[in-house]
Amino acid sequence: MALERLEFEYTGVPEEKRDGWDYLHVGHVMSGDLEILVERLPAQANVSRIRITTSAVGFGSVWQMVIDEFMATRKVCGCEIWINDDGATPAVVKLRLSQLAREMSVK
Amino acid sequence: MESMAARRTEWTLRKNEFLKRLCEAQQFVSEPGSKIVDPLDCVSLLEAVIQSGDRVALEGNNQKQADFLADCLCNVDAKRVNNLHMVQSVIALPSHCEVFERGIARLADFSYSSPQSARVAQMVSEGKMKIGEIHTYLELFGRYFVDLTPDVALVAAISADRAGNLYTGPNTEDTPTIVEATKFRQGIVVAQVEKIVDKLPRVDIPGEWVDFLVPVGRPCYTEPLFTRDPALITDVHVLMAMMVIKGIYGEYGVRSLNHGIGFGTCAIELLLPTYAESLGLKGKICSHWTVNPHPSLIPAIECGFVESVHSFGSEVGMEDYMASRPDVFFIGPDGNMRSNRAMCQVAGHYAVDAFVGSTLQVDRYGNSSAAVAGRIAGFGGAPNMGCDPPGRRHSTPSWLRAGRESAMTRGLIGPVERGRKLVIQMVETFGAGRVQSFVHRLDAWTLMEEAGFAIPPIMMYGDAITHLVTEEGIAHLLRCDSLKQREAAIKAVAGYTDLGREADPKETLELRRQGIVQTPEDLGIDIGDASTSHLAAHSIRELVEWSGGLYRPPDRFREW
Repeated sequence: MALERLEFEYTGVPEEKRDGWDYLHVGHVMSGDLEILVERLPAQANVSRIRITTSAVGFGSVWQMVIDEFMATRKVCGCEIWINDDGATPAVVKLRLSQLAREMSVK
Repeated sequence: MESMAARRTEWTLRKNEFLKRLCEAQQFVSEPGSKIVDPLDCVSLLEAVIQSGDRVALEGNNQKQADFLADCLCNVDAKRVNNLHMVQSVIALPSHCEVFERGIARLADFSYSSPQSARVAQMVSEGKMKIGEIHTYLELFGRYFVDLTPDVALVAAISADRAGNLYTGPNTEDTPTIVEATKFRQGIVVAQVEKIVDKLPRVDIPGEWVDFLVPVGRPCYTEPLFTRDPALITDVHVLMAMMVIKGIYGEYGVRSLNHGIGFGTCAIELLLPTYAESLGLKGKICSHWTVNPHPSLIPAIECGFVESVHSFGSEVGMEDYMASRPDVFFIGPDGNMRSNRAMCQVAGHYAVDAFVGSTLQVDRYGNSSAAVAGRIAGFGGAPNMGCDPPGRRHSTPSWLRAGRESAMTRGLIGPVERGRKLVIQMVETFGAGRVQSFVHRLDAWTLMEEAGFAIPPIMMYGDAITHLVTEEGIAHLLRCDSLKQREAAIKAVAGYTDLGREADPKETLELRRQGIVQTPEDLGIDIGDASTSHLAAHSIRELVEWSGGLYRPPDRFREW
């Protein structure tokens, strides 16, 4: 099966104080779904990199919009994010990102 | 004064014709005076009672199928019996198509053909099948009593006695309508039954209305169409279901309703005992249903959410559960449920606060269609549920509230107040394979051109839709005061589809401020909290447990 790899980078303002989590994981890889793994970079980092591996080829522009919106509203900074996708719809992607945001704020 | 017009003198032509055929067919009954025909003689029986050009109602719907009689009809001699006009609810079985492939039938008036949609389209293009019209169930049933009265009805029952009385049981469905239309214009009724018994549990169809019985020694084919495995419900379904429960059912006080077949509505049913209960909505919403006996309703019934359920058909495995809950289901004196599609369609059309369905495509006007190019699938009953019947005159709180909010229809009838049924469409912005659900042009237009229809096959017209629900939020279309505002509200919930990208963020904000569009956030729903963990059951097995073992799912749904 052909896989498409996409990579996005976002620059933000480093957080003043950080506590709680270093790693997060939401979702799971199965048909129509995806998993998101996050590793927090050292405190001074201001660049987040998102690497997407997806089984649905040709949806780069939709990914760009969904991720742009997430990064703009959640102000995520200094993270390595891996997304492993098995054909999730934008609805599922958005929902998993919301779950991720919830995990980030709770922990 | 003597009239100039010639007077009609013959009044029993139909009666004479059918009496002649009945006499002809007597050679196939087991003994003189009997109605019983050996299954091996069934093809010959059909050749005797059906003549070329007849209108034939072959019973079959989403659930029960007169499959044996369908097979026999395929095997009549096409040189003797041809050019039939099939007037039947669904074209669902391969045999329903074979009748056309073999040149026995030529014209079809029907409602629904989704299981054979590709083949129907192909037969039409090859000239093997000509379509009269595609109807809703109620329209077709209506025409049975006007200009499409069957000459011969081929129906299915569970059992019969020697007098011809039929027991159709929980899957009574379309049988009373077909038999009444046929017999009361002197037509011929043939019934396949599993067996002949001395005493029936109850009489669903009087024996005088049935001419021939074919005991085939096995039950007719029945499809468990409304069994949805809760394990296949996704978090997105849960999110949309939470929005419907909180933002529409709770808001309008929806007491009576019909649910379609989708996983979105299945999620609603399984969230009633949990999420809806936590919102304090028990006793305030979802008490009266016109719906097939969905196994996913069991937890809500067990928790006392549901007061009554009337059904179009039955559902395989639900029989004992329903029989044990006679306060909720429509149970006969014999202790078994009786469905009736025509009655339930009337109820779903006129007597409910809300309909919720799902669809494949929505355009910028809110018109929705499940039509796909190269497939002719028909309508079934959804358009009758999914519309506001102009003949309705009784009021309920939900109906009145929706009427008051209907900005675009207010004023056309002066100061008079009129209510409105809620017609809710649940649709994810992208469907399976990331195909866009919001489109600039419905595939229905292409299908219209291919099949030569007069109009595109629209399932729900945009003006009937009061609420469009996607994972992005609820568009309260009834609150819009112009077509332009409706379009903006539709785009606002269309997500990342091409149509959704046309949304103006400023306009969307204004629509949210006015309460015309509500996002999960506006409704106080945390998207991250939308999880299948809230469902009252997560598997078929858990539904069985909720039922105390009374629900007996077909083997194919048993994962344990």
